Amino acid sequence: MTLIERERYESPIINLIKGITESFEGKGLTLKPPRNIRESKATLFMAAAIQQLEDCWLEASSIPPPIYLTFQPVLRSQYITQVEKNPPTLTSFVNVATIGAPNKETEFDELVEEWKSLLESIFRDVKIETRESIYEGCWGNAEFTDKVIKFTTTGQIEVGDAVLKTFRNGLRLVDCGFGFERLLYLSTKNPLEGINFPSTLEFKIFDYFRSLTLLIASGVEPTQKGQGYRVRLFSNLLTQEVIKSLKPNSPIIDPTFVEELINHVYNYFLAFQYPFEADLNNTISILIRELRRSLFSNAFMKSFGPETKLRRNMGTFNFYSPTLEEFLKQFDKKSAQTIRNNIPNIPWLTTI
Amino acid sequence: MANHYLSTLNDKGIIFLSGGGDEKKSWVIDQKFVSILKTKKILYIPVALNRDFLGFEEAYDWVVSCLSSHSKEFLEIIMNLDLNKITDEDLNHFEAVYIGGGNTYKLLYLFKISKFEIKLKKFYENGGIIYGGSAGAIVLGKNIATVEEEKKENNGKCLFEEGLNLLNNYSIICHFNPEEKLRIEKIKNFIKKFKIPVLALPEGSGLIKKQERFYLIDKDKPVFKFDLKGKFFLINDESFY
Repeated sequence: MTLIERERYESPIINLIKGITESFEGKGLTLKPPRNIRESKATLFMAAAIQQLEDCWLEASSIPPPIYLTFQPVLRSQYITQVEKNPPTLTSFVNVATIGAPNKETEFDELVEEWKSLLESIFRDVKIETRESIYEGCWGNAEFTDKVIKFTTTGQIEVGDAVLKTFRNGLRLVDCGFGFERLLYLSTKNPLEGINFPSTLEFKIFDYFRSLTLLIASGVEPTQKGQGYRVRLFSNLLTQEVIKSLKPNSPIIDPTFVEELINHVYNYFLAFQYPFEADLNNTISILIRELRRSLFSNAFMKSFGPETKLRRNMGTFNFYSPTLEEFLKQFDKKSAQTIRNNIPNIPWLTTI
Repeated sequence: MANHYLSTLNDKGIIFLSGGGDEKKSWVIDQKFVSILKTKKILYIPVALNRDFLGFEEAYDWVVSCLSSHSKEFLEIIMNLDLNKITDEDLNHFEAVYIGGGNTYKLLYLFKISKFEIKLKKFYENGGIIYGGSAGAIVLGKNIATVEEEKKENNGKCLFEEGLNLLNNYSIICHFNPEEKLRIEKIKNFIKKFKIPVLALPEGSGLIKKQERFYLIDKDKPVFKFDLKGKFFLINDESFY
């Protein structure tokens, strides 16, 4: 099984990036490259493009820049339980946004109008409705009032929002942000083309693969705590979903398919000039190694309850064994068979 | 404090109530909570907070850091912000539900209109574990008007005051300070109006409820009980009804 041919999916992405960039560059805004998602102070990972300006509200001395355009990959753990295909809701996505400090009062309103007419020209026959509200909130100790303009299609699909943020200390920032994948979906009206989703794969599995690839390729080491916790979390969730949906003809059994999928995701984020820390081959090898660990760990915990001696001594076993046979050598015959009975048949994960 | 009651408990259908405070203050109750988990799968409900998407990511980072520090095994903590979409099947995936603090009226309102209240009760009756911190503890009681002042913070919206009533017909107040005369007066007025006894938990204190009995988390951190006459007294017995 192969993924969608690159030529079929690449042009809608490139065309949309180009369309948005040219529109705002024509209005005098500069395009700035995205940051690595690990470079966040307020949260463990960047959850929004506006966090490129974190220093403005975290450090009073920082001077906010004028408004610019950016395509920032982000991670949103809150969407883990809300992953959807149509329209796409993803745990990692590209937040395309115009952010910065407005020079004049009218700049925010002008941006709202620019985005509205740009989106309507991209979506062709889809009209955009806007709805205003006020929100009081805080990020850490920084309190603010938001003027929020929500963008929805006439079919009630949420597209994004434009926010004029006024902090208590007088700092004002604009954040007009949208999910690039959702814009792609609405502009192409075809979820396969829109977000390069191979229909033979369960959508949740595709989403978790995306986030795992983004995390590992961004240089996050899998651990129980801190940033590495997310890698563990997504690899555990992915393993659980894979086991749940496993059938004899599942594409996930094919190691070539999995490598292509990681390649596919890696290249997707590269289209936005995302600064990956790990190259593709390292990403593939770390991701597979982490999934293997998760599979072994899942089988072990299923096999032995918390009251058992083996489980209490879980920390003494090596779950990073390169093959199933190596892993099982650590146990007596009976325990090894119990674990083996709880391992699903995914050959590329259980052997090198 | 005696740990024996945890080892004899069937560790199903348990409620943890935290009096609130930062992670240092809740260290003991958090440690007890994590220690009894078998599958280590926790659903985190932070919707009492008044936060936007970034604020909720901050909250998630915090709760993961707080709870993970008590476990050698990996804790699968999943945050859910949309109570309308949680099904009974979704809840059954989890061993425990952790309800965070914030505005109690907002929390109860969201529980009621989404019918999550019904699902959570069923989860508990089927042996699930619930951890309620601050507002998360108060909503589990009979009536949340012990924190009537929070109505103002919720834009005056107060559609619901009847809590989930999972605590032997007690109402709860957290962050309790027995030196605060004004708070004591408010609780007495609540009792006069609603005829409901109150358990008042200072920060750092906690209770575990199992099979109709309450157990003190830490004998050095007692809780207070207000009876129907409005008299209040310290509880430092290991367990009570």
